[in-house]
Amino acid sequence: MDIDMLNLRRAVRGDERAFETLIGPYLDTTYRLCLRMMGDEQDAADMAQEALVRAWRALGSYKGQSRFSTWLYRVTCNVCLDELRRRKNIQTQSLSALQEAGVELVDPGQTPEMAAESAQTRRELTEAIGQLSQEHRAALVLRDVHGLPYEEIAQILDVNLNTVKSRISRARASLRAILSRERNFPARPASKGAEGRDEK
Amino acid sequence: MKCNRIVEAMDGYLDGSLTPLEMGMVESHVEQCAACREELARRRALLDQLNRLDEDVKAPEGLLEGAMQRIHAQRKPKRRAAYWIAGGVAAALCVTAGLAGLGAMLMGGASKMAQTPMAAEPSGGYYTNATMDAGAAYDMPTAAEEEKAWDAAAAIETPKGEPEAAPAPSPAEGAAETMVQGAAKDSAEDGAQYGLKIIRDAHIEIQTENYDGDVERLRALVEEFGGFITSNDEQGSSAYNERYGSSSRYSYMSVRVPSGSLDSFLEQARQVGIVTNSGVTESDVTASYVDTDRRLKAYQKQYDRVLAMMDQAGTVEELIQIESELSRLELQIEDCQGQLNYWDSRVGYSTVNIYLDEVRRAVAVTENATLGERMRSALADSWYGFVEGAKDALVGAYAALPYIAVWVLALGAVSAIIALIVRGVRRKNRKR
Ligand SMILES: [Zn+2]
Repeated sequence: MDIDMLNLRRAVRGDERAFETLIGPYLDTTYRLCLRMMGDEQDAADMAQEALVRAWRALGSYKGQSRFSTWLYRVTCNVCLDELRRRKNIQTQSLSALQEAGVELVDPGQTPEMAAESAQTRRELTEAIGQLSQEHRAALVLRDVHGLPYEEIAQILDVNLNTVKSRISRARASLRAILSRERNFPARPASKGAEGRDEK
Repeated sequence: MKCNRIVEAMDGYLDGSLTPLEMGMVESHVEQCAACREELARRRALLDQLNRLDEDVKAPEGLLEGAMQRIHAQRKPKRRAAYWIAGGVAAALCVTAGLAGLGAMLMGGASKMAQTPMAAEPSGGYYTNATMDAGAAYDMPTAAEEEKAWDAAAAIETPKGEPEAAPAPSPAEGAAETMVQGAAKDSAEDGAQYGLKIIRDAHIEIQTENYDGDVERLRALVEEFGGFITSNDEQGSSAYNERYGSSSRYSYMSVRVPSGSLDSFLEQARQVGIVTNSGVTESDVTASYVDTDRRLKAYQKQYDRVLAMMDQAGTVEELIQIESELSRLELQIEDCQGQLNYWDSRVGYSTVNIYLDEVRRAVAVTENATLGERMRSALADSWYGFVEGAKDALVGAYAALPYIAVWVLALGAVSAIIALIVRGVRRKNRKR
């Protein structure tokens, strides 16, 4: 158990302050995940808030079957995926369409003192991650940005271990392909089948 | 060709998930091959960039405050209603108690008996889940009802249900979503062909006064039913925690039991201690299962077709293309097969999460208990109170012996004096 059981049980019974104490250490990670999934600061803040509210409501369903952080990741991930699916149904406005329309992509966490080259890299990565499919994006962000083990990602996404492994390896291949295309590198002969390899 | 293999293994190499032999192969190849060395360095740099991508990102100011405001605002009206109900109940209780007191006074002496159950509550109080958060202002007697109404409201607001109940995301990505929907339509007829694929899981919370014994009983029970324990997390010490009203020892046990005997297992497990919460969740994965199985068969067919093309491949380029197509299909087949195995395992074996909580005195706090259960538990409570009260009364009586003795002596003295006076008066009367 990675949390204080007493606070958990109090929060389940409706103690708001206990919930604040419980959730406090996870605010940054929750927001970071939302940021990568949504690709926009305002959306990320909205989704992170939604995730916290939903976590409060669903707290009774947390039975200690996993670490608390895993459970919260799962709630957060579902909130973002639900929203992305909903939007997909309303309008099919992809990131690349936005770029073509001249919309400047927000580079989260960019600070003035950051070296120009590193800022450039971050922008490229942000853009490339945004172009991955939802499922690939979630798997890659959880593994490579948040550094979670495969087993935990399987629990968060509720798929089996092999699916997680193949999603991550395909997501990485897609990411490399997108980056090399954008950086005008010739595509590596080795990264065969990197793009268009979503199950179709 | 060899470089291809090495490049394919690079992610595993960087993840550290290869066998030592494979790791060695990658290392020795990279030492000799400049192209692969370059590629490995590029991948390592990319992973490194991703790892550090968000390390400075902080949650925006006011995130928690905003969420808490929403949470609080949504709760408030109901809480007010809860206060009214609580007030009403309290008023009713006062009137009843007043009437009862009046009756008792009329009957004489009975009021003393009515007090004994309350005397059973020592100053610290006996400990239940409810007393645990007695400090919180909104833990009124009606908190359970409020919570229920609350859950209902939440369910309406988020029609998709809580993440716990959310359907398993389609294993297929992108296009397969529509396929799943299509498959759902004729899942009824397929159900007959495949058998219904229903995952039944359960959770159960038990309070125990005999922690060590009950942990053993649960273990034995799991074994008896042909199940196994997948994780067990025991924490806390047996030292009794005065403040929270329980010893802080508890155990989380996640077990798998054959789904066919889930109900009888639960029935047995419920006998172990006082059940404060339990439930079974069911999810029907038949549609997704059927869909995945169809995709698996389609991929296998495709694989065989592509394999047959190998004989006719003329150029090296064509061969390479075929091989890459084959490895792609292999991944898909593995993916489907893995997902099917996963479902088979979860359908065949139910997961039961057991939470065993050590308390001084187990008390059922079941929200959805039947009337009978509630009556039984209320009776048990009052019987416990009565017995404890009787004990206290006995102890009190014993302790009061010296006082009683004094009183008896005093009464004796007084009555003796009165008797003397009365006798004197009678004598006077007789003399008259
Ligand atoms: Zn090489």
